[in-house]
Amino acid sequence: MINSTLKMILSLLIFWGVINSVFAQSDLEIVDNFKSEFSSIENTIKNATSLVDLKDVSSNISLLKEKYAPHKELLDKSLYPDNYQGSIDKLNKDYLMRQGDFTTIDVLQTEVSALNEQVEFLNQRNNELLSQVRNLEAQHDKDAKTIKKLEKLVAQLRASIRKRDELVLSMIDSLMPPTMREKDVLTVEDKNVVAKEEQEENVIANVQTTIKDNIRFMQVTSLKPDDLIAIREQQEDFANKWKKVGVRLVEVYSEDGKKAEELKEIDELFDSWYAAVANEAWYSINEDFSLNGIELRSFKNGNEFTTSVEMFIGDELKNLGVKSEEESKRIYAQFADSIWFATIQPVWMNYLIENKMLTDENKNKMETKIAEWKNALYPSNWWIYLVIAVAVIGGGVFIFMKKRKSKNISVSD
Amino acid sequence: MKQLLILSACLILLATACSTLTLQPADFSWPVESALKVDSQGNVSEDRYSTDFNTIGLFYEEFQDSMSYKDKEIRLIRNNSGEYFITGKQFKNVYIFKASEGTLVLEKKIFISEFGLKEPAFNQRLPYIELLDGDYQINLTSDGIEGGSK
Repeated sequence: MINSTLKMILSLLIFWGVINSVFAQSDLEIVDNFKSEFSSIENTIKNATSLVDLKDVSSNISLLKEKYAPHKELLDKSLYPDNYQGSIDKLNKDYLMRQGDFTTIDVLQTEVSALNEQVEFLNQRNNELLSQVRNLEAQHDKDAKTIKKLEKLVAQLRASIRKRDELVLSMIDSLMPPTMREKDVLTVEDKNVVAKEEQEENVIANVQTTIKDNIRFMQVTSLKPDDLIAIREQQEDFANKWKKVGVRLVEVYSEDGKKAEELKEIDELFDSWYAAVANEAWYSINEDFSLNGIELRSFKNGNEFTTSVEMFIGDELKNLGVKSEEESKRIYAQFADSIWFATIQPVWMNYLIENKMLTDENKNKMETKIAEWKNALYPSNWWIYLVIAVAVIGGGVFIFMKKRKSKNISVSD
Repeated sequence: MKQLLILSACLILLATACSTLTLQPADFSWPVESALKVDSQGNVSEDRYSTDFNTIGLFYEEFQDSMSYKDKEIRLIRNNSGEYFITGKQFKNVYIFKASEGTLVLEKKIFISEFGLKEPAFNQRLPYIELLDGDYQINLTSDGIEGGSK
């Protein structure tokens, strides 16, 4: 009897304690705990870097909702200007939006992985082609077969580099979803997403390789204006796309010294690429002269080219009496007929002038000098023709007068 | 009779002019207490209700030490009739203030514990203000302790 009474008292005490502990909870503590758990879920959503990070979020939101349902009224009054249901709805909305982001990013990541494999393959192929082109270019005596093979290889290399450039451009595009590109400021989680993807697929390294290969291509090949126009367009396209994403990447890696340095290197590579395209025209022109046995002083701009041509012709004019006439005429024929009037004037002149690489004044100077050289080699004998013409006319007049005189005499007879 | 009528009319007019416009019912209660840190000047600020006041006098009254407000926190809640209930850690009392022309005027000081409160918290339990301190629970009104347990 005493035992059962004691048990009852103990049970009542425990019950009273439980009741007490249930009731003796600070409302502020409840509100603070809700806010803290809400923030924790919110941060998980914000800081998630993949769908995996979001896997528990949905159930955590449901648990939060369930746990604090008994305190709805308190939370509605205390979470001003928000309320209990509004907070839960906000978490659900953030969760769905973030999930959507990752679904898009997942698709882009798959795309980038596939592109990366192709880029790797093309990198290897381009290296092989570049090496073959370099070997063929190095041969001094190129026969027709070698030249044809070289042209074919250069065309293959150009197409292959172009394709790789397009793939790298697609990777740049995929690196940063359009929504992220439009944002004024990237959030920490945006930066994490971009950095993770960039590091996995090594996009910066691919951009560097692409530009370096383009520069190497310029260095080992001799191109024509049409090729250069196409390359300039491709260069602009690449530079514009990179400009948009590159600025964002600088933002992502502002605190990572090594990456910031790599991005700076890309800017410098772009400068080198621009310079290589600009120099390519002068290199190809020099190559044209060189292939025809005319060695001009090296030139890298319109003024240097003009000076070089003037100096070469000046030297030839000085040597007119020293060299045999036949040799002088042969050099002139090579210079003027095989190069200047066959390639430089019809192929290059418009490109150089349109791209402001050469002025009209420079062009006129060179053409005047060539005309002067021609006159020195092939002097004009106009006075002989004049004498002959005068003699012919004089003879004609004499014969006419003589005939007329004899006719007058016979009439008077 | 005419004089009586005039006098009655005057009295009615006078009564109407003197009566105060009263809007009721009104509820000034806060749903949840605020835990406010005291700044270096002794001020506390409640952003949601735009309430700011200086607590140096309160701490001096409680601890008889003009510097005792340093690094302290107070618990503040308002009941439905608009009175402010204030206490804090190591406080032996709960203070009830009423707002009056840019000041808080002490209405009542309720003695709670000789040893001071350890983790005090207020809850709004209309028509009371509940005071908790661990297992300790007590209901307060502007008149004092309503009932409780220890």
